[in-house]
Amino acid sequence: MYKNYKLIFKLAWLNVWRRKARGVLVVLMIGVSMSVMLGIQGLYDGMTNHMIDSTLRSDSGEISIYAPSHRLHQSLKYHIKDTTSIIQKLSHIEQIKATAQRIKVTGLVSTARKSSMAKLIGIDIAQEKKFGDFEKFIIDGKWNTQENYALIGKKLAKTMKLSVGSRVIFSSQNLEGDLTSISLRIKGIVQTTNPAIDDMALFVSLAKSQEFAGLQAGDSTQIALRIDPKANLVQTKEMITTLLPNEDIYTWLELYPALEQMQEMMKVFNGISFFIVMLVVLIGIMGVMLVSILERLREFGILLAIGQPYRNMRLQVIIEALILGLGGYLMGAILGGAVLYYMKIYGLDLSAFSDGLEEFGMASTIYATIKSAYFSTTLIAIILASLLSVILPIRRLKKLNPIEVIQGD
Amino acid sequence: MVQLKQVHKYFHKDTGKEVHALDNISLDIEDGEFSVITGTSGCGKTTLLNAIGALDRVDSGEILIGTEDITMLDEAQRSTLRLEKIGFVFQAYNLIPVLSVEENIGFIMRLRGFDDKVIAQRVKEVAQILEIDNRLKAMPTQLSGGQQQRVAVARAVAAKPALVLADEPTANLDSKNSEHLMKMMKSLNEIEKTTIVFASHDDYVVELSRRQIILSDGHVVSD
Repeated sequence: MYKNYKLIFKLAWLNVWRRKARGVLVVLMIGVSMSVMLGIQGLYDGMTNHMIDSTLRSDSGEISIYAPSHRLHQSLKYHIKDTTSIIQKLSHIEQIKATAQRIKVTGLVSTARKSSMAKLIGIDIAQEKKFGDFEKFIIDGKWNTQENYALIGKKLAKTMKLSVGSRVIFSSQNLEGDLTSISLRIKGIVQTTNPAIDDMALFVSLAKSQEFAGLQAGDSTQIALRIDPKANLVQTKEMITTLLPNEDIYTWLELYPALEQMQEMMKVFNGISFFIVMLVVLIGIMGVMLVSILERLREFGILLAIGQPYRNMRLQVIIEALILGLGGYLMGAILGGAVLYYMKIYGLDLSAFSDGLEEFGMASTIYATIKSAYFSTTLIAIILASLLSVILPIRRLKKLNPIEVIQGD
Repeated sequence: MVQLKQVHKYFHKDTGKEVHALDNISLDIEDGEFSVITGTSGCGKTTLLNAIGALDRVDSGEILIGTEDITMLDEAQRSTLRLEKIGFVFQAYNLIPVLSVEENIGFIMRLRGFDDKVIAQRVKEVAQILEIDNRLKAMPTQLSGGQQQRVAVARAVAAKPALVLADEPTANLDSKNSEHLMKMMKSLNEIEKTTIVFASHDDYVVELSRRQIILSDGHVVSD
């Protein structure tokens, strides 16, 4: 039997390359369409992942803790007390990799000519660095905790026509309900691609925000947590809820449901492009296999006549389709891998559309994601497409009567 | 070795007319025979050869190869029988274009699972008898018609089948190549005692054969 397999494989291989141009064209067609598909998948996922990543890093983390009713009323009255002790308790949960305590106060930012709604966010830069590499969000200027310095979201700076060195007044109500203002010098501009930050944020030091809001040291309005990516988010939330029964605990999916919907939508887009490419592969291989079998009906008839079992010929046809499919896959994987690698490192520059993209919280340069699942799923799909593509040719072979061929001599 | 008992075969034409292609054929073909089935065009030579070769079914009668009645076999069994017991030579050479001469000759032996060394030795042996041993590495398209038909013969006999059936093997050859091929096949029959049955109306084939079975309208009129 072994020798038969070797012979069948040899016949399949030689027949695939019998018409080299045709074989190469099919392999090219599969390879190029697969690499385009991989590129699209990587970019879609890269775009979504980037949005999720920047949102988690700049704001919610995977899990956020709020005082009860804070999210409903957005009032400083509902704040977390003794944050240090809570963080100490949380440090025993090994799934938690980083924490960031923040104070957020909604108010009005004004210049001599303009005013806009804004959010003063007090942060501890050391915590934020570990939490989300905050300094990478600063696109102009730098962080400075001294004096009344602030960082401003890019979109807010644009709306307010502000740049580094500008001065603004932020006004809001403090804990007691009194109207209070603070004059801030802009020391830097922050771009996170999270619209909640870029459109609204004025970052100041935690101490400054506590002083402004009339809160005590150790008070905060949000504790954001970074969770081990391998950990189960729901289970971790349950653990935290047990530990802190008097606080409100939210996962990022609850805080940003639109991001989850976007993730689902991208999966659908990826599924559609995957289906289209696989259909092209199926039709491509089927067309070539059908023509190739019809051209060689005489040869197959003679082989049947001299005693070649039908199952051998069926296997030969399947191997021929698999050679084409896997050849295309190999080419597509190399080409697509290179495209993905390039776009992972250098990204796809869409700065010409940056204004529009930023409206939707997207970066102007999209970096691709590379997942091994792209390659394994495509491999399985191409094998399936190759197998499906030979159904018609094999049905034709099954009906072949060697006598028809011999009488045609 | 091959026995036909009261074999009948009918063809149903599109016009609705029924043609009696084989009419009560009874024959015995012994081991080592070098026979020809001959007759005018349309007399049933090829139909008879196809029936003996388990390529075509008959409507009644028995065809025994050894002790096995091949009319009772299903398609898979007929395929196995053809592979193991019968060698075919067709009018068109029908070599496998992607395989070399050597691989074409050894093809059936490979299908039957012979050892590589045995195949190599046997291919060389048959190629020498058929005088194509200097073209073993060539591809079929690099050979003349006569050479291609000798490769087809070599392929048919290499696995030492019980019976070789040759349907008009000289029809596409000129007289010189026809004579050459027939002499080679005669040598094979004498050296290896291969049973060879031709279907041919070529005078030279008829003349060289030791037994002539003449058909007319599906009947054996002379044996």
